[in-house]
Amino acid sequence: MIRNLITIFCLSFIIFTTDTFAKNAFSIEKYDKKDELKDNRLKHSLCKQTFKDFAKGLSNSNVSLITIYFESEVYLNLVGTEKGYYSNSHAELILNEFMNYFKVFSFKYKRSHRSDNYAYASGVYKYNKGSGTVELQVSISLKYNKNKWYINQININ
Amino acid sequence: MLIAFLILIWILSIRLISDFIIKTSDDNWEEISTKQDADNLEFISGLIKSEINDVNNISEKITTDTSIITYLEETNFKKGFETILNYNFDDLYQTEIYNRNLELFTFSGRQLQPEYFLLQKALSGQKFTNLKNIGFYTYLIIYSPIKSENNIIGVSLAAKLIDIKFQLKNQFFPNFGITQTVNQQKKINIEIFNANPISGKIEYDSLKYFNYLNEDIYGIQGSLIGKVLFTKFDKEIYKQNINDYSGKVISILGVLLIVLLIWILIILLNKIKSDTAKILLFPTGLICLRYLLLYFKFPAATFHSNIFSPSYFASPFGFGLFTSIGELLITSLFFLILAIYSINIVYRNYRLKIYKDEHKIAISVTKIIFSTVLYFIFLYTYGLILEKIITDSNLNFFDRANMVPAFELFIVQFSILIVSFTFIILLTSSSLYIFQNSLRLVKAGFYKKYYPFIYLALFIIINHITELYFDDFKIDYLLRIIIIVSSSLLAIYISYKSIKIKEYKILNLKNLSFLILICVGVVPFIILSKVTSQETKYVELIAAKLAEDEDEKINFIITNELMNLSTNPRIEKDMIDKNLSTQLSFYLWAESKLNSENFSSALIILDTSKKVISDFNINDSKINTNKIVDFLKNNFFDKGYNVTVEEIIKKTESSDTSDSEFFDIDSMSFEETVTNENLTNQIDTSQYNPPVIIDKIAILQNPEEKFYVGIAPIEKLDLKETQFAQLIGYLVIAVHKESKNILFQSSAELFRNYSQDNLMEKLISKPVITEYSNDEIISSTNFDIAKSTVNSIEIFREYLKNSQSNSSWRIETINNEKYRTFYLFSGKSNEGTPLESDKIYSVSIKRDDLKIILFFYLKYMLFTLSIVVIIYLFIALFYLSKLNFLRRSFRTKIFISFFFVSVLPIILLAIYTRTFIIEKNEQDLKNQIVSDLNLLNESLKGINFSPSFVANQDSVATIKKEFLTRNVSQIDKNFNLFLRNRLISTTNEELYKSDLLDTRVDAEAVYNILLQKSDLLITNQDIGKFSYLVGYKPLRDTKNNIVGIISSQLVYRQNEINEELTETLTFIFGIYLIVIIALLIFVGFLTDKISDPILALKDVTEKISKGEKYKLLDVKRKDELGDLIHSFNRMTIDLERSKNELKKAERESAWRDIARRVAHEIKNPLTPMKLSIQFLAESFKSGDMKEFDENLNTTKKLISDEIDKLNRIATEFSNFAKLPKRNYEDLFPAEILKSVISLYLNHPDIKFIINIHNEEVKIKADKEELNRIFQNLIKNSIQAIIENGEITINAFVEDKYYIVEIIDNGIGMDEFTQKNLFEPNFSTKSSGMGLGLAITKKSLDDMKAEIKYNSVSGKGTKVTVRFIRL
Repeated sequence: MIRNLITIFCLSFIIFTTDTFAKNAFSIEKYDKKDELKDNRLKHSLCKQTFKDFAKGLSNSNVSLITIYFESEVYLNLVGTEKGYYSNSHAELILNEFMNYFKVFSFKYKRSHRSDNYAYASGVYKYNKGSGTVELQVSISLKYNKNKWYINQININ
Repeated sequence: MLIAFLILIWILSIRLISDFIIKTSDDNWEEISTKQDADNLEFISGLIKSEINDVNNISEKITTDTSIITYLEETNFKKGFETILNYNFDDLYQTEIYNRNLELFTFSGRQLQPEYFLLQKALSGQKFTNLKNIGFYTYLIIYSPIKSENNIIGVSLAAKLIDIKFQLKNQFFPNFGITQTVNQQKKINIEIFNANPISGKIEYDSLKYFNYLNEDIYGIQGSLIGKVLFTKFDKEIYKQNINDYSGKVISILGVLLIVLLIWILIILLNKIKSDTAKILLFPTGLICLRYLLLYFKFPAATFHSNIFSPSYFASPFGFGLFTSIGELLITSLFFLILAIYSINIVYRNYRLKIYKDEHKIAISVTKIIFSTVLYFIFLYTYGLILEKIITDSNLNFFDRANMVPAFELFIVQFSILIVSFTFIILLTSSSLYIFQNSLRLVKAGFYKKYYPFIYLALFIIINHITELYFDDFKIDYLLRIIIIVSSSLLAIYISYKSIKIKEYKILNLKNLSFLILICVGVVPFIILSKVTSQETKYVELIAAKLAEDEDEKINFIITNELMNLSTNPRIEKDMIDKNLSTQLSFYLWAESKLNSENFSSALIILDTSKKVISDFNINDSKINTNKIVDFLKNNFFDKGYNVTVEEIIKKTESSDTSDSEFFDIDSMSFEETVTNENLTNQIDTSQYNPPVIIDKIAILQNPEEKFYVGIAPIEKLDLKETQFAQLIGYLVIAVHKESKNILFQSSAELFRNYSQDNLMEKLISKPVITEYSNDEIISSTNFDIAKSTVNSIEIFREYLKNSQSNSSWRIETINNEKYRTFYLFSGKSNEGTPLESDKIYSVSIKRDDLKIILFFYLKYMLFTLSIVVIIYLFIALFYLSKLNFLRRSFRTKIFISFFFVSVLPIILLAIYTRTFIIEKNEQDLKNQIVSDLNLLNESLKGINFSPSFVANQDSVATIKKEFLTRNVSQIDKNFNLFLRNRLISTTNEELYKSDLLDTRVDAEAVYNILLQKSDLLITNQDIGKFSYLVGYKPLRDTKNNIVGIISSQLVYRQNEINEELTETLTFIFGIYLIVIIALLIFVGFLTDKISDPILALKDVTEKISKGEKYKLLDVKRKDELGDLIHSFNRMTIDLERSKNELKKAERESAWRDIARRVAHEIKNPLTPMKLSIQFLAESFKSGDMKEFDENLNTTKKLISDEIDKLNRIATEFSNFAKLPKRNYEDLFPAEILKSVISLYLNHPDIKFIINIHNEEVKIKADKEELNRIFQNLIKNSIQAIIENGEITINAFVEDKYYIVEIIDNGIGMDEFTQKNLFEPNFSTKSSGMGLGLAITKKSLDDMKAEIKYNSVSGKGTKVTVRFIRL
């Protein structure tokens, strides 16, 4: 009788510990993956938001929607301007001048790509010229730094 | 105010009119557009006609040149070339002459590749025009037969470049071409299409140009040569033009309004008496006017210039005041006006109150504190403005290639100079204001003597305190000290001078020069420190770019560009045309994003059998076309992969066709991202992977050669997405993964417009960039330096282990020079210990490089002083035009003489040195070319250039690189081999594939090398505005026969050459300039030293002649001048003594005279008195009482009269002798004169003409005395008049005097009278003592006035009195 009780007890103990251990192990794994996925989703949505704001800024000739994603220096290659690195305040004025001169008709994205720390998109910017429109090719690259996406480069030509 | 109102109305009406015109244009649009289209057509036709005439003139010149005809007949090539080259045609013109066998006889310029049948046509006697596109160039060619005595002996081609396709316009041919001209002037697009020379057909895409107007182009002889298509005059553009035009007019009117407002402001300021109010009102008004000017957009709207666009500089600071370099310049000029005005007010205040005894301490202290705070605010603002100018601009402040800055940089540097000037003035005026108020605090002692220096020390202490508590004061501590000390010293100097010199003018040349010297001394260092502080940022950026994991980016770019370019309609058209296919790849490359990325990239077009039709790569040494094509063949096509058009057909059936080109960012899903990531992850850098195919694009990687290559099909566009879709070729793009063009810039430099950005320009010196892996150097821009930093890598790795950051700065000494190096680890630091295989990048820049600092300083100094010299020249010319040229002061004459003797030779020496250096530089370059050519020659010695070998060679399309070995194929040199005048091999095919250079050898080389048999030719050649040096040498076979020509071009090194030359010249001229400045200062000092004693002598002599008080001169010199001064002093003392003795003698004589006269006058009445009394006594004695009574009365009367006479004499004498007590005060002489005149105005016989001006002028005099003087003078005039009397009284200001003139038409005075006029008791009158004028003179002398008489006997007298006015 006592032997049986001891056997049952040992078996129960073994089963219980194994089960607990297994459960814990599984939930750690699940936790890591879940967290990573959550971070990735957040990063992705931030990236999307940045692209959206950029598109909105271009479509509505609203520079402020774009400049919030500028770091201290940004690379600009706009038609009619020398390409290179500009300070954020200088870049803002140049972009403003660009939008005033090439009044937007429409802007649409064509292609995009995102990796861990970089994202790229290309599109077409149509502006009014006389009674018609002219197209310019746009490409923008983003860089992820300190939990925010920043605009690295803007090419419009 | 009325005018201002009118202008406002005018502005409003212009706006209304333009709106009205725009509205009514809808009704009249047909008429307007027809008229404008006709205008445009006329303009375009005019342009084309003038080009045709131009070319025709050249053609006529050649075909009628008898010497060419003669040489052509004789087949004298040498003379033929010589004649053509002597014409020295511009680069735009090309000429070719063919003999009767249609063999090329001579040429100049680029090859025209004429069609054979056209040459035959010309040979048959026809003269005609042809429009032709050769690569990117459009030529207008005139074919003309060459006749000799009515026999046709050849054909001449004269051509002019009239247009260039867009890619080449930017750097080499800016703003060139008919299309560009029309676009700029008429704002319409035009396209020129040439007629097919055989069929005469003109082909263009009518669908694309459906809304264009067209007009045929006819050549000479009326033949159709092409068509020009241009956009219709657009309504929106028309409206825009009207708005632009009205904007221009409004902006000009706005300026008029502002000028009026400035005028009103000035009037207002003149009326306000309070200086504080003035100082507040003027800046406020000026700033408002500045914003008003911005509102009217003047001059930006009036002059559409680049300087008013934000491209070069723009800062939001100032709310619009600094939105372009043009606005910066205007704002800085406004600030300057403000500063000059404020210092004038402060200084005037300072002078007026300097001796006033105001003792309001509390107010003074408040003002001092306020001014001190303002002083530091000015200092801070100055630094802030300079910082904004540097950081928010895109200009290269360290342009080492040009001595003269580019126009935009010139404007900015000039603005910086004005801003610096302004703020130094503001600081100086603040200091003066502080000195003025501090004078009232303490009256005497140490403080009173040294108070400016006490304040200087106080400023330095406050500066130190701000340094401790305020992190960023925008200007470095040491520079602030220099500014504070120099501005305070200037203020001290001004205050000292204003005490010493009564009429001291603050804005004089000397003070101006001091201000400029301060600017020259300080500003370059401030700019340098600002630029240097940015370096840190940019160095980190460079390193970050290098370390960037760019696989993703490369893939994206390749995919993107393949998708964009593969549907370019030009490919289909140009692929099949041999003339156009060579440049096609370059055209596509230049149009794509590839040209703006820092990668080495290549673009290749293959036909369906995978043969290369056209290719272009920016860095052939990294990605070779053959390697790319071979790689594709072996790893893609041969492995069974392909990209075809069929795939898209399958997709078309199922997918939604509407707007599928565009991508909605919202639909970018997480899963898709994961998929993309998976795709990227497949591209493993360590081993070959199968290609990734997305849509119709495939991307492969070559890990050994480290490049990515993408391929896409080219299909017939009109059959696209149909069942008949047809493949016609492949588009291939390759990007070298690890070749960062930051490191190797040579070939990319030339294509600056296409590839490189401004990152390197942000650094003062060239960085040394190195890439390490496994602690070994993989690549570096300077291996010598890089080797010294290898040890630092270990230290950096240690640092990485213990730090979160993956980068670090380090200062190290390399080759005895200090460097700052930024190290960046390209892996992820939070993933544990960095592996040795991970890459480390380092960017090193020189620290405190004296040579660079000196170069920059000298360059800026040269710039500033050139501007200053020009301004001084204008000022000098202005003053010279006012003054008599010969009447310059002694001091000026000495200065000019010394200047010419000492400075002019230096200037001449500098000019000679410059010429010498330039020539030496050119000689060095020539020597270098010669040695390069010799080296090239040596390397070609093994090749047998037999005639059959030569005949087998093809054009540049199939370059055989192996002719030029690696020994000579260095990146920054271009070597070429020409056989039979054609390019056979080159080390830099991109120069030819981009159509920058012609594949035919230059005419000058043919003439000199082949015909003149010269061994060497070195000459300058041009690609548009870009000039470079090229050397030619003959290539000989084993029998020493010339078989070809080799050339070496410094086309890639030209920038570097310019930089070296600029640096050398800057140093030389800078040093000369410093010597000249030192000489000028020395010459000025010497001039003063020599002229001072002479001028002092002059001053004292003047004073003596005027009878004023003077001091004896101090004698410190022991030379001839010292002796002269000694003698002068002695002479002065003797003169004084003699003068005193003379005075005494004169006084004694005068007194004797007076005594005699008085005695005589006293005696006169005594005699009759005595006689009368005697007579009276006798009559009393006679007893006749009646007689006695009569005599008594007579005697009484006589005695009484005589006593009166005696009394009068005594009174006059007393008046003359006595010294009345005077009360000098500030009087209005005009007032007193008027009151005296009023006493005599009613004189019956005399007419008074009164012209009294400047009644507000004051003089210092005694009122009674002045009254007496005027009375005396007017009375004398009245007494001089006999009949028909007229007295004119004038009173006016002249210089610093108040002049009173009394002119009468009386009897006048002779010379003797005029000479003795002021002698006491000299009189022409019968009565009186003759003391009136003597008294008048004495009174005037005492008040330092002058009196002068001009008289003509019988005609009248003019007396002039000059009072010194207050």
